[in-house]
Amino acid sequence: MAISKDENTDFIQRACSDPDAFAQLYLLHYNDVFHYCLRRLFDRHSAEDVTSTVFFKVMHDLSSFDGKVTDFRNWLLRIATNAVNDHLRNSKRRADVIQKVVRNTRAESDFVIPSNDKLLEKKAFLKQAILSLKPKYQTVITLRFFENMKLTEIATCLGKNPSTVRSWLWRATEKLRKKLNTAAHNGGSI
Amino acid sequence: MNDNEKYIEEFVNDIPFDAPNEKHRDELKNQLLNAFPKHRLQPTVHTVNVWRTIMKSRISRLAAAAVIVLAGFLALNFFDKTSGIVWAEVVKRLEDIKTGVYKITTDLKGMPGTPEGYTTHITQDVTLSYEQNAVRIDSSMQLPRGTRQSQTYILFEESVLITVMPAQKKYFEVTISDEQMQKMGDEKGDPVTLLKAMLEHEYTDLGRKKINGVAAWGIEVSDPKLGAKMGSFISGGMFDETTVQLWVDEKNELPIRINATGSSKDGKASMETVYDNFQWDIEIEPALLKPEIPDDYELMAQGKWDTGNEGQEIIEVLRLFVEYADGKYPASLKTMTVAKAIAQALKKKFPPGSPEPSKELIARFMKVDRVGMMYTTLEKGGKDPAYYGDKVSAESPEAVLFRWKIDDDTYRVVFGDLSTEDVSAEKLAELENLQR
Repeated sequence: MAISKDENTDFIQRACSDPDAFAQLYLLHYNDVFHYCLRRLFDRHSAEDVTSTVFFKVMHDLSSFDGKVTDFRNWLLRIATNAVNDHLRNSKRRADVIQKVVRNTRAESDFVIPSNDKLLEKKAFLKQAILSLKPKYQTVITLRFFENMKLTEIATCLGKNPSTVRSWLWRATEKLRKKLNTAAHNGGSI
Repeated sequence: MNDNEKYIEEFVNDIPFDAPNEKHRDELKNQLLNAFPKHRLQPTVHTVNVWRTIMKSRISRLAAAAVIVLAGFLALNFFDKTSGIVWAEVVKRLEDIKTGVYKITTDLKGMPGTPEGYTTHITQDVTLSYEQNAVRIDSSMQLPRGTRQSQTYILFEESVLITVMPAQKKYFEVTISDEQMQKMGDEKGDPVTLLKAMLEHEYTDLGRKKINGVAAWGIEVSDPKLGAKMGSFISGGMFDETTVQLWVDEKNELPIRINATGSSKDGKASMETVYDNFQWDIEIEPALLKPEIPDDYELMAQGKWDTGNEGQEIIEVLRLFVEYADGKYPASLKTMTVAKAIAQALKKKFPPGSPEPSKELIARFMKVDRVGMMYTTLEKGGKDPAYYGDKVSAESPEAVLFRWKIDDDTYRVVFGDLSTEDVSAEKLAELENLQR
């Protein structure tokens, strides 16, 4: 995200009362939020739904953001994390997401970046394996490996102790690796 | 980076993902701008707020409550003239509390669904762990047709509340939004929160007395709003008068007993509650705070607690009266009044032997528990709510039944037939004058 903290703070202050500033702030961060949701949910439509939820919440709660001490992106990702977890919490919905993911594994959409079959197969394994983890483990995996955040940054973003995040990450990576190995050996079944 | 991390990093390295869809981005932008709050004329000041920083995580929020209570003590010089308590030690004690267990015993007259004059005896064994971010309440309720037992778990980490009824082999589950979770963190009904609430009111110093041979100091506060801090789902807006006494052990500087009484003006409802058997910082097995639900237990209903939508939720509660009480609304939006009225209506609609209400209906019915709290939230939030269920029924489709402010000069008006209209303050005054 190519925007300085000061610029962010200025936008945020204006965005509380100025719709144009809010629109600018939204456009600056839309892609980040969408990508994060997509990498958590593996489904474009669910990711768009949750992205909408996130920005309505941001609009509602923007005045509570403390621009001086907290990084806006972390705040945004925390809201997105809660929204994704809320979305996944309903076990039925979670099961539906997994089924949908399996169904859509090879479905091409207008927005899919061209790729080869092997990569799509890898992606299918990854989807199933990640979605079968607990939401908190999904969160740390996504923040660590897709958002490329350091452990301390993840801890700040989630408002957790670094030691807690370290243990979550350790468990999450161990479980994920096992599931990916199992999927690779069982033709996708984990 | 360990082997597992390296493996995953390599695995995800070249995985392709869809690109954002500009159409969705633009549509969402328009939706957001259309919904942009018009009343936000002044930008909000963003100050570094120590409280907000402390409240970053739920665990620290729970622990923070203890610190704030202490700050209240220190600011008020609460005991130090006479008790000789060393406050630096109190700071340490309160900051270091990790677990607590205590018993709540309540005699409640006028509980919804019970015969008039019947007193329900309720005992609750509370186990809370600030470390595990969880609360468990084992309840036993003596009702006319026998004793009902249940276990309720509030799991802050998962934002979920689960109540299990072993005798019935049933359970229900409520997911809780972050805002509501924060509200519960603020009003979760534990002794520390209650003490904080008491110190915010004018209190009477009760001085020293012996409780079970232990020297204790007490304060007393009388305010109906304290009922909402007692942690009971039916206490929000339930009583017209509430008095709470809190006693603190002089030696360990922690609560030793809480007595609370409440009563309604008409004398039909009353409550006497005692919190005691406090034990602090004892070992709690993690398994004790995790619900184990056997496979053969049936999920009765799933609900969701949220905030920010109180007005609409109250309308949903009122809709129950159109469907099940022939459009006769409760006389007030106090939880007790609403619960009693809907309980009577449901008794008629579902006489003994009827099929059990659907999960959807139970989920809707569960909202009744919070209706008093929702109305209070509107009041506290400056939304200027008013309710006329004592005069208006579904047979008066043009009369104002309920209203609240949605903007600086706009009210949402709910008419007798539950249709709604957004009107100016001037127009609202005209409408309300018509029915005077």
